[in-house]
Amino acid sequence: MKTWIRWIVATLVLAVIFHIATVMAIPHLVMKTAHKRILKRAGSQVNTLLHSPRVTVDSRDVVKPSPDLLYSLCVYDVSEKPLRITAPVPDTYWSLSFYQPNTDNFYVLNDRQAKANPVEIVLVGPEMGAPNVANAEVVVAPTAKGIFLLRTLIMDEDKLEDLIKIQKKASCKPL
Amino acid sequence: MRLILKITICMLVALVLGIGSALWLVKFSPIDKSQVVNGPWRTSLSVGSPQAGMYLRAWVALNGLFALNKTETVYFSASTDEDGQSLRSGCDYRVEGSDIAARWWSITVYGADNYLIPNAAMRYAFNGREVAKNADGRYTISLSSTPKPGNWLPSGSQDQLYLTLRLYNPLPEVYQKPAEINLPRIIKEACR
Repeated sequence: MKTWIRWIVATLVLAVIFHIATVMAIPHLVMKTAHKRILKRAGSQVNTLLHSPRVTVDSRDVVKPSPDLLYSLCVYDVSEKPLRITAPVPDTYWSLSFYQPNTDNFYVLNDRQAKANPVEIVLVGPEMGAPNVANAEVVVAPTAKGIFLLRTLIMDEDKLEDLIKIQKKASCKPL
Repeated sequence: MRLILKITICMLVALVLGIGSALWLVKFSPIDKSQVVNGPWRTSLSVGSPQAGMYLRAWVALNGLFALNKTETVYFSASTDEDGQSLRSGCDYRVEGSDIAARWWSITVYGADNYLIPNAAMRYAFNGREVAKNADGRYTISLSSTPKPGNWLPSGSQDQLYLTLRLYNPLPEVYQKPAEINLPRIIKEACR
């Protein structure tokens, strides 16, 4: 009887461990899949900003894609060199955001908060010292790898062409 | 031999229980993800913040990857009408309300697979600037699989519909009193 209970307790303890491991692994797995999907697209590589065309009915990169936004994506790796991001600020809601592999957003800046136009940001790895760069804000990434996302809101359909032009001037490259 | 068999069974049961309960909780349980309820709309204000718990983080990863924090965007989602019945293409709905306290807002409809619903009108959303309003500033959006006059949001043929209301740069009242602000009503009309 006693060993019988022991087996059940052991099974339950194991189940709890598997449960927690699964819940914690989900964001990482989803993010890895997103990385792969982004890098599969034409002209896409690490530390390069990819300007997505406007979301259509065929868009499958993210669930619940927003037809309101223009997205630019950069899968980054700052383990060796910092990354320099340059992005002109349009006259609409606009934001740039950085995500860790566990999906946490560790930095975000919107058009109203931008102090310069274009915005210049240098993203450094977790163990790197601050590089000596003028006129750029230094952001420290908690993990070497992650995703940078630029969002431009299409407030007005008539301005779509202009917004795309401004979007395409943004870039991310190793320093 | 019996010991190995016992360990194997123990492991298998633990795997099924552990992973199964994890997926079930993340997918279906209301834990974490619906901290705020406003009529048929639900939101969690810790979306996109590092304070998010492990369940919420997993839920966001599966349902709205790359969500932003509450001062940038607040996302409300609805999977039911205001009587708690699941939204589906077999029914017509009226989504009606007044302007929402944000710099800009939009309402988008998604199908059961969480993607946009194909339609000839190429209409997937309405935003606060383009939606046709009455003289008093109120608007009505017709969520229906068949064409409707005015603001028609096509719903295709889906067993389940999801509405997402996005508020960009919401006013502080939105995240201070998310359960009390005025959000659009979702009213069921005829079903087929």
